[in-house]
Amino acid sequence: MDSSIRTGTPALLAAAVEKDSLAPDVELFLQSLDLTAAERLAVVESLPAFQYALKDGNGVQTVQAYGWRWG
Amino acid sequence: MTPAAVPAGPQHSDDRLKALAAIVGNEVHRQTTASGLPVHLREIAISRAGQSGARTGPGVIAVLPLAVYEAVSGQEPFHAAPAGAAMSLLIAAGDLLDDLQDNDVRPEDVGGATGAAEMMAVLLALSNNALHAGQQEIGLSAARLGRATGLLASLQLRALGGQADDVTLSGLDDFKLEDALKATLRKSGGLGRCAAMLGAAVATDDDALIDTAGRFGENLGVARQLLNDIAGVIPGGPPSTDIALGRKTAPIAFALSVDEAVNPAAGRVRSALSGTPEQRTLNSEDIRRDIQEAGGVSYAWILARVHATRARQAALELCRAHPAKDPSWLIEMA
Repeated sequence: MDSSIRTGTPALLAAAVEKDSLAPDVELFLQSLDLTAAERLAVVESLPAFQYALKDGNGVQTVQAYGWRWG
Repeated sequence: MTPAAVPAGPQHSDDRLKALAAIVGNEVHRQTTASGLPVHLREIAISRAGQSGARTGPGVIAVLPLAVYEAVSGQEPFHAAPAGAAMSLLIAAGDLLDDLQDNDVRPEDVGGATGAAEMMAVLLALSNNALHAGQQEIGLSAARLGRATGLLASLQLRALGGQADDVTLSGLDDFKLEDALKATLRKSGGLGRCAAMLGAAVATDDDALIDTAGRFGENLGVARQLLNDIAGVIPGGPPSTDIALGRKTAPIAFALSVDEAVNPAAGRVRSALSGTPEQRTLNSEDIRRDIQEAGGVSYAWILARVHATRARQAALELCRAHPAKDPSWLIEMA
């Protein structure tokens, strides 16, 4: 996965953060990761809620719910 | 060794984690007490291992050998307690190194350079000896002992290499995002891989299952490290030295790799983190907001979900070895 991150893709994702979660440039970024269908689905299912949580200032609680305390 | 009652099922996941951690803690105590080391070194080793990975709750990596063992063998997890002890002591050594490198612990608090070196040597020696010391207790064959010991040694080196990469990257202004991710994969992925493969190697001679366990542990370790890295930068998150020390964690490395012409927040992050730690005057919350605005938090989140999904898929494969066992807890870990 590391080597599949294409030059310039980070900038595309950064630009997409303020847009709808699955804007075309986010789609492009996900394509660059060479995900399987299951991996892509997991991201697509969780990303919108995470983006809204960040926007509403609830990012900490969301990350906590996914278990950083188990790190 | 007395089997412990381990709560089952996802609704008891926290209790289950604590129960497995208690089994590991008892094994560390038993082995360290029987090690013949002077009392003060035994006490330090037990204390450090008791804290390993537990600053914010029981550590998952130290109990991973037990969880994987149970899934692969269908037997009670306490049989893998020596493998859990090996991981607990290894993580304690890594935590000590990490604390000293991050200035979370001052050398004088651990007996100076000599005391720190002695403690590190004790923890690594106990870790390397843990499987052998527990061999008779769990009836481990010589062949499986040899294989598990070899795995522990080689994967220890991988994780320590990742830790060194991590520190080296902290001092670099010119780096590649891929290098930061590789360091995470080697360090946290290496520890997770080691823990899960040990549990499997104690349980079976099946190469494919042991490899699947490695895939599970590696992805679980990376996913959880990425969540920790997000916690270290997210606005309103817990205190962390990641920003102050210029750690190239995934969210920070990502923010630093974004073109500031595309996103001005990336330029502010780069400016704030330039120079040495001593030269920086940081407003942590401002930088946290800029890292998030530059996309670092979202990027790390996406990677964490990808790795968690890969761990979950591997857990499902592992649990097919014994379909009668409830696989939900192992899967829930991801």
